[in-house]
Order: sequence, then structure tokens, then C-alpha cells
Amino acid sequence: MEILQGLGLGLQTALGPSALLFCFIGVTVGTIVGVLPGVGALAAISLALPLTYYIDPTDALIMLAGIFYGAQYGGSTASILLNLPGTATAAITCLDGHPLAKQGKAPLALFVTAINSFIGSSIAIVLLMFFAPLVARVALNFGSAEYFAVMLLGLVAASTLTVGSPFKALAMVAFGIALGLVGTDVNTGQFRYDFGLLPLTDGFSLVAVAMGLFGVAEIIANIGQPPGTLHKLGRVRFKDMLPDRQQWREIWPPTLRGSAIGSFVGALPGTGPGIASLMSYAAEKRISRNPEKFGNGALEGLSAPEAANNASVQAAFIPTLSLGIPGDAVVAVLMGAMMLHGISPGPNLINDQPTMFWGLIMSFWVGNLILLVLNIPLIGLWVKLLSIPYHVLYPCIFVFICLGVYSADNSTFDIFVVLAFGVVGYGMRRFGFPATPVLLGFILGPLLEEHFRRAMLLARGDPLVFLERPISAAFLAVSALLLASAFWPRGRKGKAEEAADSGLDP
Amino acid sequence: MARETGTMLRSLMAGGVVAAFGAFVAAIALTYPLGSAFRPGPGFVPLGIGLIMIGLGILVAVEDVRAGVAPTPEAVPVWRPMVATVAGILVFALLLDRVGYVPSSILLVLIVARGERGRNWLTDLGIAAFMAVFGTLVFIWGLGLPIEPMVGL
Repeated sequence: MEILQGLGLGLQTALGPSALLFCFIGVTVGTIVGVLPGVGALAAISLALPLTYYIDPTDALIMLAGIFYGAQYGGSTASILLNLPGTATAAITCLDGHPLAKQGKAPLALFVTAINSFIGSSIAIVLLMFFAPLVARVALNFGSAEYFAVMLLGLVAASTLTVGSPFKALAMVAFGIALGLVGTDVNTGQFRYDFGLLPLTDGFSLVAVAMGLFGVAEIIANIGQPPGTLHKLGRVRFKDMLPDRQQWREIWPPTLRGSAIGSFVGALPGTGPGIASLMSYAAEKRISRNPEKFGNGALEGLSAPEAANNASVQAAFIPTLSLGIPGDAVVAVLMGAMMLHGISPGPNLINDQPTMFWGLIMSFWVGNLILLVLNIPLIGLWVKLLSIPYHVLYPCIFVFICLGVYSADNSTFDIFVVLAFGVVGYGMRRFGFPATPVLLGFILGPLLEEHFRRAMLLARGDPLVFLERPISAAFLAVSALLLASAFWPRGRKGKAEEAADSGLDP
Repeated sequence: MARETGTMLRSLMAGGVVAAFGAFVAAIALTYPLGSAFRPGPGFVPLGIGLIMIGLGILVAVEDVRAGVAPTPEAVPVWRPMVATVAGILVFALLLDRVGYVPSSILLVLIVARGERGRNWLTDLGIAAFMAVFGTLVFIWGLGLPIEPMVGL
């Protein structure tokens, strides 16, 4: 009953003219930045973030979220046609998508990704509707000890369930937490790590850190790289796009399995679409009767990860909206956006802001429908976008980045910050350090510290409080298990892992 | 032998930087009141994070040395894009308040474009002019960013 009421409220919000408009803008911008190599969803959201100060917070979130899942649709276009993955997720799409394009089946591949993305998202949205309120109800009884434990679990999961070295990821979580320490201590008013610089007493700006680590670092790495070969599509006819009956049969089961894996992985705090698509690709290859087809244009190898990454993107909103714990860097920035608008994501969100919660969820559906409609007839247009050469594009992106960070706070100081983090991020890439955990640590660090100190205070300094409370103890036990798994020897890496490993982030 | 030592040193570098950063964080944390377990002070968590980073830095170094590969995928670092980017953004940040958006964005585009060899100056000037106009129209006049398009005009 509650859900039905929520649905009604959500539909009302999501179908309102302003929500519809911003949803449309969001998914369109998302698709464009997803298609363009070298501009990720994260850079786009960070850029759009300051602009949303002037609009209603619900509309703002609808738009920002639209950029996020819209980019997942667009990312596969670049992977299939250009073999140029912008993210770890897209790297998996390249494996079988690009061979399909080489065989002249690009329209089919693009259609399959669009339809699978839609199915994956839809399944996850249904789960989100049912589980987020449930999780939130449980979380209402959480004290500081539980919050500390679940955030710790999220950070540990994000760094140990990764494709690269878990130690490097953990080190980056710690680095992120350290960055989050900069500024004024909320409990005592003590300035920490401000080095006498006045702007630092407010801490680093989220937009500047995110744009530096992802935007600037990514561009430095891409400058001067040889461009991929773009496959000419010619005229895209609808007939070429539709799979035949045999192909449908090949697509369905992997799509459903991919959606299931994606929803599950996405719903865990701390794990994002990168790991979801990798897991579902590996699972398909393992259960397939002819695994040698994978990497040579297997439809299963395309449809399962595509469904999985979109499902995980939607499911990532379960922990974000109900616990206030983002599952991935992009959701972390979205959460930062909520906080900037004065809304704290967490168990009270559903009760305090039902319009926003349900409106956002229903807007996902609206957005995915728009994407489906946008993507299939407009594939030709996206392909044209792909032919803008990178050397024309990247100087423009630098201007956008500089203006974007400046506008967040109207201070040139943030431009220096974005530059510093761009250089740091580029160095991290070269040494195999992932950037996503830094951002998760940066956003969760201050909350983690606050809950830790509050829990200790309430327990009169007894650290056992974290183990005496059953929920907190359970979260800590899982974290400990995950940490222990980092020390288990790892097998040889498969092709997919290597592709996803080469300095790319989910 | 010298080559092996070189590889070894390079493998140690990633972990070493992490550990050194951790030591730096911890050292500064000691200048803040630590508090007690009963009431952790502003230095408590920073000290812990610093120490954890030292430990993780050591683990990363051990892992890299065991893997025995130099952590950099390419032998020679690509300095040109990095230097051009740093120079371009620095110039933009330093000039924005002094001369305004139009000249600083033109310089930004022209300088970051030097990150690639053999570019056509005319193309770059075209991109720069486009961004100067586009940024002024959309960001300054359209969205009302408090930046002067051109100081003194």
C-alpha cells in the first residue's frame, strides 16, 4: 500500500513538466558525454553540479542521475564502434561489441545494448522500489556504531572487490579519508591540515577533487594517443538492428542473469558497475557451452554485461538513498550534490522527502524510456559525435573544467586544486592506483570520523561497543573477511580483467 | 645487476610514496590534541589514518616487488601533455581575475594544445576563439558567472 502511494506520488513528480524537462536534459547530456571518449559521467555531473544550485533539488537530482545512467547507454556506443572504452564497464562491452561491429553487425549490437540496458535498469528499479524502504526501516534503529561499521564495510568492499590490487585500492581509500580531514574539525573547531591557507579551512571542494582525479587526469592520459578506427555505419536501417528469432533466444537468458548479478552487486555498498559487468561477463563465459565464441562477437558476452552495468547503476541507489552510503564514485558525487542542497541521504529521506525519493525513482523509468527512444533512432547522430577529433575536443573540455570548478565556489583557488589533483590522479594511474576509492573515502571519511567519535563518546571510550552491538559486529565481521581475502593469492588474470585493469575506473 | 636494482627501486616507489604520505599525515596529526579513547580529539583519527597508510604503503611495496614488474606500463613517462596541461591551467587560474575570461581562456586553449606535437595553429586559434565566445555567451551572460569577460573593457 505504502509503495502504491509512493508510486503515485513519484509519477506525479516525475511527470511534472519541470522534472520531465530536466530528466530529458540529463539523459541527453549523459548520452553525449558517454559517447564522447574522454568525458565521463563524473566530469559531466561535476560540471553540472554548480549549475543546479539555482533549480529545485528534486529536479537537480533527477537531472544529475539522468546524466549518470544516460552515460552508461552512451558509453557502449563508443566501445562498439570505436573500441575506445572510457570506463572499466565499457572495456567489457568492447570485448564482444567491437568484434560484432567488425563483422558489420554494429546496428544489431547497438540495438541489443539499448534494449538490454533498458531491461537491466527496469529490473533493478523494481528492486529499488521494494528494498530501499525496507533497508531504510531497518536503518532507522542504527546508532553511531552501526553507521561506522556499515561505512567501513562499504569502503572495504569498494577496495577489495576490485579488479586491481586490493592494497592499492585500500591505500587510496585511506588517502581519500585523509583528504577529507582537511578543514575545520566539526567537534572542536580545530583547523586541520590547512597550512595557513584560508580557503582550505573549508576543506577541499568535492567538485575540484573529482574533476581533477577523473577529468584532468583522464585527459592528460589521452592526449596524443592514436585515435581508434571508427567503423562506418552507412545508413542504419531498422531491419538491420532487430535480432532474429535465434538471436533473441541467445540474448534473453544472459540478459536476465546479467540483470540479477548487476542488481545484487550494485546494491552492495561500495561496489559499482565496473565490477558488476566484469562478474556477469565471467559468469556467462563460464556457463557457456561454447566459451571460444567470447571475444569474437558473442551476443551473450555483450548482453549480459550491458544488462548488469545498467542494473547496478540503478541498484546503487538502494544503499545511497536508504543508508547514505554511495556505491561508486559517481553516486558519491550525486550524494554530495544532495548534501549541497541541504538534504542528507539516509533512512529518514523516504519519510522526510517522499516527493524526492519516489520522484527520483519514477524519473529513472521515465529517463530509461527516453533513452530507449533517443538511442535507437538517433544512433546515426551519436556516430557523428564520435567523429569529432579528440584534439579539437580536449582543449574545450579543459575550459569547461576550469569554468566548472570556478563556478562551484567563485574562487580561483579551486582551479589550482583541480590542477593539483589532476597531476596526482595522472600519477596514480601510471602506478596502478584506482581513483574511485579516493572519492569514496573523501566523501565518507568525515561521516566515518564523526560516527566513530560519537560512538566512542557514548560508550565511554570502550572500543568493544562496535562488537557488542550485533548489527555492527556483523558488518565488521564481513569487512574483516573481505580484508582477509585481500591476502589470498590471486589467479592469473583473464583478458577481461586486464582490459579493466589498465588504469580505468568503473 | 644495475638494471635489476633499477626495477626494484621503481617497484618500491609506489608503496614508498603512500607510506611517506602516511608518515606526513601522522606527523602533522601529532600537533593536534589527540584526546583520549573516552573523548577522541581532532588528532585521533588523522593519526590512525596516517599509520594505516604507512602500513598499506609497505604492503603495496611488498606486492610490487614480488610481482617484479616495474609499475609503469610505458618505459618513458609522457611529459609533454602533462607540462602543457599544468602550464595552461596555471596561466588561466592566475590571469582569470586580472585580465578576464576571454584572454585567459584563449591562452588556456593555445597552451594545452601544445600537449600534442605538430598541431595546426590556425585550428587552435579557431578553437580558442570559439570557446572564448561560447563561454562568454553561455556561462557569463547566460548563467551569470561573476567573471569579467575582459578586464578594462
